Amino acid sequence: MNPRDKNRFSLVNISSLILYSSVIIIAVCMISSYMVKTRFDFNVHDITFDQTSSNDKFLSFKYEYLVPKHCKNKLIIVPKKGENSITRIAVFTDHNYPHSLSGDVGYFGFTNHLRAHLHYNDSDIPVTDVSAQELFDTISSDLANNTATESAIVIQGGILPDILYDQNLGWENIKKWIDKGGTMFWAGEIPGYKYGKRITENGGGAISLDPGAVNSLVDSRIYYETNQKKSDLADTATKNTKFSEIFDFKYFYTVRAPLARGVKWNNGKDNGAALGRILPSSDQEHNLSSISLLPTGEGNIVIFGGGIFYNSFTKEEEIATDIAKIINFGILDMAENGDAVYSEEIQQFSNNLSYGEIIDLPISISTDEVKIILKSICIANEINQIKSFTVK
Amino acid sequence: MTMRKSCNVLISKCGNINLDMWKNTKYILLLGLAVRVFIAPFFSSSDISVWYQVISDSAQNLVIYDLLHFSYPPLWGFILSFWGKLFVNILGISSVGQYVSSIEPVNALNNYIPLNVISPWLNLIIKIPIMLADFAIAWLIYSLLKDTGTKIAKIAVAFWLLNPLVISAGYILGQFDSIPALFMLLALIFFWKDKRFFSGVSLSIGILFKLYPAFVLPAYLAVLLFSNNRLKTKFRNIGEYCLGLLLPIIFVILPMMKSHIWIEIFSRTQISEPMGINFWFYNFSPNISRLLKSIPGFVTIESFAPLLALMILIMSVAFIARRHGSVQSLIFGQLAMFTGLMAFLYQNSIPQYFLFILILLIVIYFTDNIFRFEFFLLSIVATLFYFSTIPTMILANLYPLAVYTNFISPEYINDYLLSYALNKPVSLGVYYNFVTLYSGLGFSTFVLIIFKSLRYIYEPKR
Repeated sequence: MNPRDKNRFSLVNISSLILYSSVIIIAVCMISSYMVKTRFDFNVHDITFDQTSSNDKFLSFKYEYLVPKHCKNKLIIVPKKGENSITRIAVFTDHNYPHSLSGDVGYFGFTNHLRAHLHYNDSDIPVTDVSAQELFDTISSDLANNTATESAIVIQGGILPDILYDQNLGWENIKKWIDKGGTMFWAGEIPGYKYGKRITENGGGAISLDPGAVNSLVDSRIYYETNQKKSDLADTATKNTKFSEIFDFKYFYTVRAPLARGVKWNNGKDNGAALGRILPSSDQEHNLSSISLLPTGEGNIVIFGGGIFYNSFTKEEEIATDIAKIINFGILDMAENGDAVYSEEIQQFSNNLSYGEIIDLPISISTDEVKIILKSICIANEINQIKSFTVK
Repeated sequence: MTMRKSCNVLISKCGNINLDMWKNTKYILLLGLAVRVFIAPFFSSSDISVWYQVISDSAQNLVIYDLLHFSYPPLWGFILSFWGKLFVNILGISSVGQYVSSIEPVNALNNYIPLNVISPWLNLIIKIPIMLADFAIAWLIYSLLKDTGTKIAKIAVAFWLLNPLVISAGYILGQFDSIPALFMLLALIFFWKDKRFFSGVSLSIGILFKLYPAFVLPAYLAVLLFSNNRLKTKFRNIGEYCLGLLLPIIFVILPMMKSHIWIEIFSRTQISEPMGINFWFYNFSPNISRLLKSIPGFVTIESFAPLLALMILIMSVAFIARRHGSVQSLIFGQLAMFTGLMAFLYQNSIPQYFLFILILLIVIYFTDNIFRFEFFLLSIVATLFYFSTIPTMILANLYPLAVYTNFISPEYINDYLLSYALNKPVSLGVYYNFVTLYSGLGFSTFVLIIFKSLRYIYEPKR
């Protein structure tokens, strides 16, 4: 060997060195990814809330743990009205049926996002994709067994299948299911304005029931004048409601949104709530609501006013996040007797919670239990820790 | 020296390389490192929000494909997951970044701009693998070209390390394409040196970072198939290559079979949306789509692009076959494949796809013993043009600088982005035209260069 060759590497040696080093680095990353578990430095279940005084339901709490620095941390107290009764969620995902303001991409992502965000929000309610027939069976079974209160369905494609529609009775079956306590989350077209026929070689597709939408699932007047032409930006609601501000609801699109004032007098009752943001109009009467809660009978309809597709982007994660929060924070229960009563009792505290802070909660509540929500938006996800607390 | 001779020199003489790279290129290396370390912590792009989301998911002990934020092959996800867990476990969650509530109105208009701004340390650290890949590529380029001349090798290293295209793609946009490009280069080198198994392993690792290295696989198989070897040897070589190719894929993918990896990578590609990208490596362009629809017989770009891509692949393989699987044909076959597949690149967020082309061109041009300064200028102009088409993106890239230093305030960026969005100084149509023009320019530039290169292949034998 030439003495000069002592300091020589062949190209293959250099390449091998790079390849071997890369394989080692990759292996370390892979193993750590599977084996190493992360610990968070906060957990609401570890936090002790001591009620330090109670005077006519005036409460003081002291909590003792650090909340994450540089995260947006909120402590929220909401009145608790019964236990969350929803134990299963069915998502209507049938590719053989038409959809509105949605599509296969949204369909695919939605269910997984909903599962994940329920998990983020301290809940593992099972979420299943259902076909048209399975949706029909779920509703029929709930009605037969009187279990509608335990059930929620999500119509993410904005169109119900024809097998739920009766030419003589209209949407009677599903209306009955909601009246009995079922909860329907809706995104897309006006609920019940169209029904979908199974798409086959011979046809199928969405069929409008009537131009005035009087046969829809909700009081058609709540959609008055929503079809007027708006620019792209005008579909984005900007003004926070108390709910959206406190709970950080993500969805604020209004291309098919109900009127904000209409939400309140749905079915002649003053019991609905605008949960999302408001799109202000020059005429206040025509303000639109991006997320609308319409208590109906013993159940609820929650409408996302713009579908999953908006402005070329899919919003399935935003809808899933908001549904998870609406279920887990007990918002459905809170609005049961009207927005005006319960929303006033929601309390939001500092965005800068710190160690050992004593918080006085000057709340006047009408229930004996509250839900305490520690909301932290850390890194890129929102993590909500929820704990129920009985007022002494 | 002709191209043919250059390639021969490359193949025959690059056996022994002095490890004197440091001595000859230390100022270039140090400058390249300084620029990267200076830029990396303070720039982020919309894709950084995806990396951030993956770090967040893994910090919460979720499998990277559970939340559908990540639609790349898994290896980059593992790297992000590693850094994320390391940061959260050792330095605490606050080290990762901070929530900036004043960005909320901007996020409402464009949710690709994250509300949580990545911390400079994490931003720097997740870009370290990209840096390592850049310097490894520089080392390989130097080693490849050393025998052609120290000066040539030195300029080639500078061309790579100080290239604005490489720097902007990796450290402003946070794109990790230098990593798959490194493995593609390794695959090529191992193949030259008859290390077929390692070539397969390298290409496979490249594919496990990004899908597009898979497009050069037919070129390798074609070279093995159309070589002058006996049939038995051919099949043994192909088997060796495929074994190398399959092993990493099996080790990486097997533990993830129960996750949503397949759907995420192959189905959730959003080709129906503007800016959506699909497996066939083209972006959906409203303009190109409109043009295609106006031509009788063409239905959609979705049906057209895969056919064209397939045609290019077949033609490249045929070309390699015609050249009896020579190394030159392999290089030019790869170039042709990439250039053809990029015909549909529309959106301007993808300069990173040019990185591997850049490496091949560097190797080709510098073995030709002529320094092509105009090409260097072209890549600078292309990068400047790229940023000029999207002024909003430059400011949006500066959020880490604004939040963590006093050079610029986040409010200034917010105000600018909001007023830009609300006033729409450039209408969407004009914007798309600009973007298409950029795409066209970039594409034409590379086509011209490649056509120019191809004449070497067809030059008469001497």
